Amino acid sequence: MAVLRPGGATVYSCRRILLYSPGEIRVLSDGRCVSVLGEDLHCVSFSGGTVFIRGAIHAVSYPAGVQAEEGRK
Amino acid sequence: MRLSIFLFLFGERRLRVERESCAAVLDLCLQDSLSLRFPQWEEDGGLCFSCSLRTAKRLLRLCHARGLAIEDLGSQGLPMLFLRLLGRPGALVGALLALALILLSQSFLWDIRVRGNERMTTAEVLSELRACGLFTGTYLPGLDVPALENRVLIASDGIAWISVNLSGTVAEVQVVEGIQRPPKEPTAPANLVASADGQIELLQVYRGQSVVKVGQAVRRGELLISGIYDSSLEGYRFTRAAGEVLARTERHIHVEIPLSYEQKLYAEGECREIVLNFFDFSLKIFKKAGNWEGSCDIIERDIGSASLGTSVLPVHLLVTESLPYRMQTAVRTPEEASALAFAQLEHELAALSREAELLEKRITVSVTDTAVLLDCTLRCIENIAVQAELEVDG
Repeated sequence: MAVLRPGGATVYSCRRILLYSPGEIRVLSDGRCVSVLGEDLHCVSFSGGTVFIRGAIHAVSYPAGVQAEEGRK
Repeated sequence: MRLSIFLFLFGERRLRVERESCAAVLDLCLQDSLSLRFPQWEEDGGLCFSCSLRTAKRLLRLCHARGLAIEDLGSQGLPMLFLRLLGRPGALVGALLALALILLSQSFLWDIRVRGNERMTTAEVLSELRACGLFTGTYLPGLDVPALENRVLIASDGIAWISVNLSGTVAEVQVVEGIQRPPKEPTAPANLVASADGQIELLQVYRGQSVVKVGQAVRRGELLISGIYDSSLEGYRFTRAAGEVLARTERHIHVEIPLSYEQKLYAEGECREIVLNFFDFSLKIFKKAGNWEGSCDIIERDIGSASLGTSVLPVHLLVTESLPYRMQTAVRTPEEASALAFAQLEHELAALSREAELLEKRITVSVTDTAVLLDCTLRCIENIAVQAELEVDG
């Protein structure tokens, strides 16, 4: 689950980080792929599976096709 | 601007990972709950971030174990500062000495503030306190304040009450000055006699018996007002005659200004000495000595005490300069000498005008081979009565 907050977004129950770039951060959360799109994105906190993503967030999406493939990796 | 007190105090390490390794490295951070601070994307796509020394050590070990490229950009913070300081023993010793000095200085008196003095100057009060054992640099644990206050009260003629309050390393001294008694008027019997020749203009008798009249000419030393009452019933009675006798008098002022005189000619080779005073300790920090054996003027300058807000620090520089000179005969023109003579005459007239009313002034100037002579004759009205005490037997 991803919750938008002032200045960023918090993604809970993260298992893995799949993609990390300034424009997109993709994480595996509760067996689903969560993609945060924006500018100058950063993960600044990893505590107990909770990831806080800071930056100018444009969109949060759940790309279905990526889920199984990335999960298998 | 990056600012983290925690990272500064405990040290931080800056790391960098390539763009393609970012996800894997950050995934490691996620798996191990490692915190990152101040992430920053670089132009080439790399990611820089800071973390604590412990986190960095763990992250580096994990990355090396998995074959992930991570670059160590170096450490900074207070622990690194200490490590660098350890490499400079001089700075370390200096820091320790400074710390010891600060701790030690708390046992000594830094400043004395005096209040309540009106007739006595602060310097006089400080001088009396110093004589009794309280001065800048006094060892505070050995200071007995009540005994000190008693010593000051016994020793000082001007201080009637004193209170010394120690506030940290500052002594607040409150004084009350004693009441100054007016000087006792002499009571011995006396006459009033003339201090100069003159013709009496006005007589004012406060006590005694007048023996002269207005318009009478008197000579110096002549009796004006008698302190003896002669009574056929009671016999002689003595008193201290008092009064004013204003008389026309003539005064002469003679001024002589020589045409040649001795003047100082300062020579090369001045000496200078700079002394640093810290509390009561003096340290000579500079000395430039000359080889002059003649006379010299010595000028001492206190460059000033360092201050911190309203507190005066017990540190000041004392500069002593010795300016060597020799005497040389110089010549002035008669005009210059005449100007000096008139200036001196004006000075003497100004002093005289406080005690006499000037009526007439005649000035004669003469120039000789060696000097300019100025003679001034004054006619004035002044009080010529002075007391002359009587010796009374029995």
